[in-house]
Order: sequence, then C-alpha cells, then structure tokens
Amino acid sequence: MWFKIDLYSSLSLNEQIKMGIKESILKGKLREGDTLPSIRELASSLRVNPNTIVRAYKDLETEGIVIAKQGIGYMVLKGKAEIRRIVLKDLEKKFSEEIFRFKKIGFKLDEILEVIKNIWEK
Amino acid sequence: MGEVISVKNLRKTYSNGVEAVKGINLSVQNQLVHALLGPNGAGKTSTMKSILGFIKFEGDIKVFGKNIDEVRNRISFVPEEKNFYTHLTPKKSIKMCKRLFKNFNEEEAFKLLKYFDIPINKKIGSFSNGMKTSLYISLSLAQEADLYIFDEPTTGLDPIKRSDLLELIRQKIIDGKTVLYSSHIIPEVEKIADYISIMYKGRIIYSGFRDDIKEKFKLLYVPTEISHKIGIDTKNFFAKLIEDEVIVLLSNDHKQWESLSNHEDIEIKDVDLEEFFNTLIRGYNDVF
Amino acid sequence: MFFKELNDIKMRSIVILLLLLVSLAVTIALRPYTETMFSQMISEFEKLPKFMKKIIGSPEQLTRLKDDEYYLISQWHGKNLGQFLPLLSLLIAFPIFAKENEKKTIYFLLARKKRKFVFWVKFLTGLFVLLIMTGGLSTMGFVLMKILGYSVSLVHLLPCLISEMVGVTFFFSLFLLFSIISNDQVKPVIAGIVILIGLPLLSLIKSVSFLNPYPYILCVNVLDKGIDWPYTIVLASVSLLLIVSDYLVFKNREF
Repeated sequence: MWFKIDLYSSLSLNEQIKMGIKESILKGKLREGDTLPSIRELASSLRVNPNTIVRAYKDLETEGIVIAKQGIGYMVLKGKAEIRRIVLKDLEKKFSEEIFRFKKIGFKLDEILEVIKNIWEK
Repeated sequence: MGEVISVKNLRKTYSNGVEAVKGINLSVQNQLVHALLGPNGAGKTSTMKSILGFIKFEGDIKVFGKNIDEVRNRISFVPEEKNFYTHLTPKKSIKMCKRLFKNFNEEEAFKLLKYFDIPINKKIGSFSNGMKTSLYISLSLAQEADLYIFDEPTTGLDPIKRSDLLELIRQKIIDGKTVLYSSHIIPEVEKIADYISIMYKGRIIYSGFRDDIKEKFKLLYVPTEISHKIGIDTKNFFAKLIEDEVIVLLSNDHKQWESLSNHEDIEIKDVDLEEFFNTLIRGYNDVF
Repeated sequence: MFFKELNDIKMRSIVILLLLLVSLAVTIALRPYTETMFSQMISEFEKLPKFMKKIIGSPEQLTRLKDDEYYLISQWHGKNLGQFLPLLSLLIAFPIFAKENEKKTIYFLLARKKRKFVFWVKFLTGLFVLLIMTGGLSTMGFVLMKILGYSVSLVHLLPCLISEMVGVTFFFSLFLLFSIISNDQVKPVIAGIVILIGLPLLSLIKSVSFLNPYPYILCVNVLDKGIDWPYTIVLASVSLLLIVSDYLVFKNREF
C-alpha cells in the first residue's frame, strides 16, 4: 500500500496525493528513475477516481518532480535531496499565512519556536 | 467519451403550477461521480425524471449525445422509492433481469446479494426498507451499464451497508463508468463525489469539483461592526450570509482574504462541504 | 418480461378459471334435470301463476330448451360464461398498468426499456391470457357436452367463439385505458364496473341500444342468424382504435 487518503481532511485529494508521492520518495519507496504506480493501480489502492490521480500526476510533472514517458508511465526525475527542498518550500507556503498573522498580532519568533519545540518533543 | 449527460436550460412546471426546475444547466462528464446535492424539494428528482424521460420538460437533454430512448440499454437507475415486485423472490428477480437485459451479469448479482445479506428465496413483499434498497441496488449494479443514476440510494441502509454501497460505486468509476448521484446527505456526498452541483429552489447555485471547494475557497467571519468600519463591499464575494452579529463571507479570490487576513477580529477558515453548502443555501435568500 | 407479466396475471387467472370450470360443470350437470323440469313446466304452463309465466317466457322458448344445442348456447355462452366475460376482461386488465403505477415499480422498466416495448409486452400478455381463457372455456362447453353424448355441432360454436373473442378484446382494450391512466388500482375497477352496469342499461333507450355489446357477446342471435358480420367489423375497429389510444396515452403519460 502506497499511502492513505483522508476524505474528510481539509486538504484536497489532489494535494494529499501529491504529498503522498513526495513522501514516498523521501521514505525511499520511490527512487530517481523509478516509475510511479500506474494510474489505475493507485486509484484502486486509494479508492479514488482515476481522473483525480491523473490531475495530481500532471501537477507533479508541472512541478518538475516527474515526467511522463510514452509507454512507460510517469518517471521520477528528482532524488531525495531535491524533494526535501521542495517539500520544505511547500511547508513554508503552507505556514506563511498563519505565521504572518501571529507576527502581526505581536508574537515574537522565540514564542513561535517554543510552540514548535513543544509539538516536536511530544 | 466526454460529456455523458448534457442538460441545457431545463425548466419544469407541474400542472399544479409548481415550478420545480427554473432553468438549469448540467454537464455530467465521463468517469466520475457527479453529485446533485440539495435539500428536499430543491428539484433534484424532477431533474432526474426529466433526464430519464419520465416527465415532460422544456429545454434540451442529451445522454451520450443522443435522445435517452436510444441509449436506455446503457443506463441503470435506482429511484427514490425502491419498490420491486413483491411476489417475486431475489432469485426469480435475477432470472427476470437476465432475460430482460443483455448486459446483466448474473454471477455479479448473486455476489452482490450475498454481500448485502439478502435471502435469495424469500418473497420481496416481506422485505424491510433496508433490504428492499439493498436488493434494488444489487440488481442495478449487476447491470453492466455505462451510466448509473441514483436518487437517494442509501435510504434505509445501516452505516456499514451505506459504506459498502459507496465503495461499490467507487469501483464502477475505477472501471471507467459514470455515476449521477442525487442526495441531501452531505457526509455521503463529501465521501463519494468528484464533482458537485448544488441545487436549491429549482436552481443550480454552484457547480464544481469537490477538490476545488477545499482548495479555492475560504470562509471569512467578519463581525458586523467591523464590516461597517472597514467598509467591505459584500457584493464582491462569492456568497454572503448575514447572521446576528457576524457576516459570513465565502470567497474564492485569494486577494480578498489576503487583504483582510491582518485584521485580528476577522477569522479566516478552510471550507468543508457542510459549511460551504450551508453558507450558500442560507445566504441564497440574502442574495436573490 | 413476458414471463414476469404472465406471473403477475397467474394468480387471478387461475382463481377465475377454477370458478368458471365449476360453473361449466354445474351447467352441464344440470342438463338432464332441465329436460324433465321444462317438460313438466310446458305441460302445466297454463296452471302457473302469472309472475312465473312472465319470468319463464313463452312455451316455445321452453320447448327449445329441450334442444341440446339451444341449451348450450343459451345457458353456457349466453348466460353462465357469456355474462361473465366482460367482468373477466376487467379482472385481467385493471392491474396490468395500474398496479405498477401505484406501487411505483414501473420505474424499473421505464428507465431501461422503451415505452413501446413495455406497452406491447404488457398489452399482448394480458390479451393472450384473456383470449386463451375465453377460447378454452368456450370450446370446453361444446367438447364436454359432445363427450357426454349430447347432440351439439361445431356449426354454431365457431360464430359464437368469434363474437366472444372480439367482445373480450373490446372490453379489454377499454378497461386497459383506465388502468393506464390511474395511479391506483381502485379507480380502474370502479370505472370498469360503471361501464359493465351502464352498457346494458343503454338497451333501454332504443336509439342507442346498438352501443350495448352484450347481446353480441352473449350469442343471442347466433342460432337463428349466424354471425353478425357488420357488428363484428365495427366492434373490431373500435377495439383497434382503443388499442391505439391505449398506446398513445401510455406513451405520453408522465410518471
């Protein structure tokens, strides 16, 4: 099984699938040069509409993480290190709104870091 | 294949004067679950009956590009009232369906009946609501149709069977089929739909991918005094709902919520289907 | 679908069939007794009270009852079976569409098959059962009497059979219209009964008495005049018109 999907999450299926693929690369389940699971296989495994998988794969291609090869499928272009950078950038984008708000309210960087530390250590 | 169902400017007024459908457009694309979501009385059943040719209507409807009468052999329908022939047993029903429909898969039918715990030699007249629903669904899914149309398919089903049904529907999509699913139950639609058309008072007030609702919309809760102070032009928002002390705004324009995100009294939230639906429906009266 | 329709009709047709077979048995069993009974009545006709004379009719009619052929035609075709035939048509016809309309099982068929198909299978199955029952029971009267040694001939059976078949087709097509229009099973029965009672009453008004098909079905004039071809053709044409109407109403109905 590749990864799990939460239908009730605030993240769209598209985002969850892309994240799932990126995490699979980071965990070593997929390496540079490997082919992504076929659309039908992943759709069946995740129990989602194949078209949703197609859209996610196309987005990943736009991000430059994979490339569609005729007759083979989607091939992973980037290695762990590059994916790490990309995922961290995703995280930055995800948090920037929230962190910015807290900054405007008047919180200090130390206070935010403290919160993160507490969460991490749990 | 493209567009499976094409509904253009559908209008239906019943002989008693009730205008059930007030001019809607609907486009059901291939290989997805298209949900028609709306409260009872919204016009969903009238829309489905028009598509199926059960009632007369104004407007243009095409199924697989043709008049529905020409493609009935590619369709399977589960109506709101899941009544079947009471003196038959499930086994006899399967025999009948096998004779009637070329695309009926007898083996699949028996498998589904077993899956739903239906006794095959018991007269249907003695069935409970849940069993009637399960039987009707089993016979309908055993047909290898290209388009499945469901009108409130989970009535009477316990949570486990409901989940089983949604799973079976999803498999049909993976197999390349198309589903039109009408319901007023939001958690179900949230689970099964790829594309949602929200219907209310005879009109379709939103149509879009379910994913888009999560990705492109945000809810803003603006206390009423603040909205006056800042001078927010609520008309520019996708939808608005005026409550006692707060105005709820639905926005799909990130510039809108980015400009307001700095205000400490304005709460900005991700949208789930229920809140999206409620804001649109209850706010409908404020807009129209 | 033919078998499903057949199955639907099965229960009521078997019950009615049994009832009519009993009626047939009784009719034929009484034959020997009627002979002696009527012989007595004829000889003592003048002695009978006035009201009885009125009911029995003329001594000539009584004399005719001594004739086996006349007995078969008047008692079976003209009474016990004949009078029941319109009611039989109603009983077969009324639930064919109305039941599915009422129970909303019609959607299963309408979604998946063309209306043309649904209509013709239901119509033809019902008519088929009705004609088989009518033809069978009609012929059985003749067959049984023949077997028991009575003197009956085929000559009069055929015209009788034709009148009965055309007659039930007419009533079936008419009652089917009520079945198609109604959303419940009660209305077509009531409408049918109104027709069944109303038509004979038309005979009371001389100018429109031709509208009453009962005498035609009851083979009243078959022995003397043979088959009434004009009436047969007219009734058959009216039936055809009714069938076309049935189809068009069903085709355009909203469900």
